[in-house]
Amino acid sequence: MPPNPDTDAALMLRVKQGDAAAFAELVDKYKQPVMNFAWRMLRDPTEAEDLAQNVFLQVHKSAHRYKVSARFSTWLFTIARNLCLNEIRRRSRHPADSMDASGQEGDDQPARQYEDNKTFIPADTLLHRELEQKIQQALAELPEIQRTAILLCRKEEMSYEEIAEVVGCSVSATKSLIHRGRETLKQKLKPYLRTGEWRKAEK
Amino acid sequence: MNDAEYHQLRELSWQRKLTGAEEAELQKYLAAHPEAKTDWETDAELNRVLDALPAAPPVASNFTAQVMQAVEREAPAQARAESWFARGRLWSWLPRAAAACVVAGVVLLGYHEHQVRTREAMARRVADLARAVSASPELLANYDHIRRLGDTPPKADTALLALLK
Repeated sequence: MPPNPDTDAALMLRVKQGDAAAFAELVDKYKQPVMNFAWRMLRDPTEAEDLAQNVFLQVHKSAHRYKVSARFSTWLFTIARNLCLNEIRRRSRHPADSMDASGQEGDDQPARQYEDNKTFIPADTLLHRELEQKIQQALAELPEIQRTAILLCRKEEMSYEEIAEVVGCSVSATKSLIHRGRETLKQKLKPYLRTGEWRKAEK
Repeated sequence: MNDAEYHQLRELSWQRKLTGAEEAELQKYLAAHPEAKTDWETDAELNRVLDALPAAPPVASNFTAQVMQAVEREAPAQARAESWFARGRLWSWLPRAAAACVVAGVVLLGYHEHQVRTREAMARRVADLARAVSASPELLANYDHIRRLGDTPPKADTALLALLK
């Protein structure tokens, strides 16, 4: 069910007045969508969750700047995208850091889950994973702005106007971005798309 | 359905599954334009691939609580930052206001100087005229007639012209 923009705007107005309960309600509502977005951009669940928390911290800090005329989800994903971009740039400057990142304090899960290569994995599962890796790799190789636009379009069901606001382009430029990104994905995944191998693996 | 409508439908399919009615329209178009069928099918296949991408892991059960704790920790620092920000915004107006005052002052001074010079020039001309008139009073003999010449539009004095001929 798509979020109700009027409810979100009303909650944000209360947040501007210092209403903590209203802010908690917004966090509850959008925590998973923001996590989904961050994970697809960063590909690391721990870092994605940290970033998702920072997104909401930033929302709270910037609450005084929120205008009712702007849709809350658009504003939220603009912040999320900016933080993801910062993290991607930081990684490109310090590639070793992300491998050494530790889990949060009090976290009872290890920061990294490594697969036990001695466990038997059925062939169709392997094939599905291989295809999944191909798809993820193809997405990761897209320019960030195309990847963001495609994911917001398909996964977050945002309108083209909202996506245009998040990526900072006109609506026609946004559609062009998505079209070019999709054409690139189709080229890279051609063998899999034509044969439908990934669907056989799912069955 | 024309080509433009087909492309709109295609853009819609990038966002969501088409409704039954939309699918029916699409199939009619593809039946009339078989050259578009391969492209459409590849597009549809890519949509299915994107839909099949695994979902992100669920956030921690205490995610919201962690965010609220972080907000509370940052509250004093945020209050200080907002106070500095407000003061900074106030102070940032002062140089602009001062510059505006200086510009307004220069303009007013310039206007005043212009007024003073204009009056001085006029006073000099009046003094010159007074000296000229006192030296030669006959200058004012036909003053009234000369002053009124500009009031009436010039008309050709045909009678005078005939006499002169």
